[in-house]
Amino acid sequence: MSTLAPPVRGKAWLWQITALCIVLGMLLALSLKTQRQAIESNEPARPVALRKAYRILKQQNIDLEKELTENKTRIEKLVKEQANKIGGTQEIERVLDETKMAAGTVAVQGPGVIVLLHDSPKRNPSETRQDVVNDYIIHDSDIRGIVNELFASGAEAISLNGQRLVATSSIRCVGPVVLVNSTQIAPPFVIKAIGKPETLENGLKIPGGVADGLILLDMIEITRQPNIVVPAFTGSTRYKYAVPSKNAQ
Amino acid sequence: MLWLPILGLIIGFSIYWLPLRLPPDYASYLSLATLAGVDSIFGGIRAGIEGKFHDDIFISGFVSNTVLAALLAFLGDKIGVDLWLAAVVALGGRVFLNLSLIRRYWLTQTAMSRKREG
Repeated sequence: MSTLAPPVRGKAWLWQITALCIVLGMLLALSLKTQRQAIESNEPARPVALRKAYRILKQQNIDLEKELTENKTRIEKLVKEQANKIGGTQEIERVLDETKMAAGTVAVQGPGVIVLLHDSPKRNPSETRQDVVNDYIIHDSDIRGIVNELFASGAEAISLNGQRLVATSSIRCVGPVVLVNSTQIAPPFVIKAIGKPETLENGLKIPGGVADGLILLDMIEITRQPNIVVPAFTGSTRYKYAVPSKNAQ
Repeated sequence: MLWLPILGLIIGFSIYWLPLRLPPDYASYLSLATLAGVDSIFGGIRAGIEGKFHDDIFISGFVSNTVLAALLAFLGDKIGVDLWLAAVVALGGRVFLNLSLIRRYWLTQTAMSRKREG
């Protein structure tokens, strides 16, 4: 102890402690701030923002789709008015209607079948093996198979959860949902197909056909209907790259 | 006179509102350094009360404790051992020990003054 400075007398030590308390306060402040930053950076701030953006975009999509439908009806009305004015254009109008039917841009109705696809109720809830669980779930490939078979059996118009299938439609899996015409749809899947009901149903139920495995697991319900309405395609029908070819027929 | 260190603490704490940012990786080291600082402050108060306050011991103790605690945490991170626990246990224990001694001192003093009055 003799080599050290003599003990500080009086209240001088309090001043030194105060000085170091200032440093400690700084440390404490920095520590708190950094800790909060660390927590905030781990905080799911991004998912929250994404959720909000998703909601806004979804609403925008709905609004735009409504606008699109309104515009389409207006165009139709204008075309009809124009046709009436010119007169003698019934042939053109008939061709136009047929073309629209083929393109799927008008809602159509007629007899057919409604196919309901849902995940299997026979799945053992305690089953956790992914490859086994997968067998009890409806996949995009199942839907594609059914749709393909319906078209092969002479279906003239098909919709999938309200989405009309047209020449440019695709059906693909995106995580837990299925994308059709760039619209997300989730199970249960309702496929409405217009055509001869018996042929459609038999086409699906061919032994060894697409519905075989699904029937076994109670994942498919097929009902014949005397009158089904299949909605019109509401997406964009504008072509960016393809143009009518003049030389080839 | 006890309000002086508290005032210092508040003054130091005011840098919280400065636009200062540190990488979040330093959070654990800073917390440990803060704990070491608390230990030093209480040690200093105790030494002051006992009349054994050496400014050189106090300052060097403060610096070396904070740096050592941070270094220990850093080393622990590198070699995969939670060495910061050692610092937390040692420093935390000492804080409690010093606090109990300070408390004892104050209680004795008040008891003595009461006896003098009575």
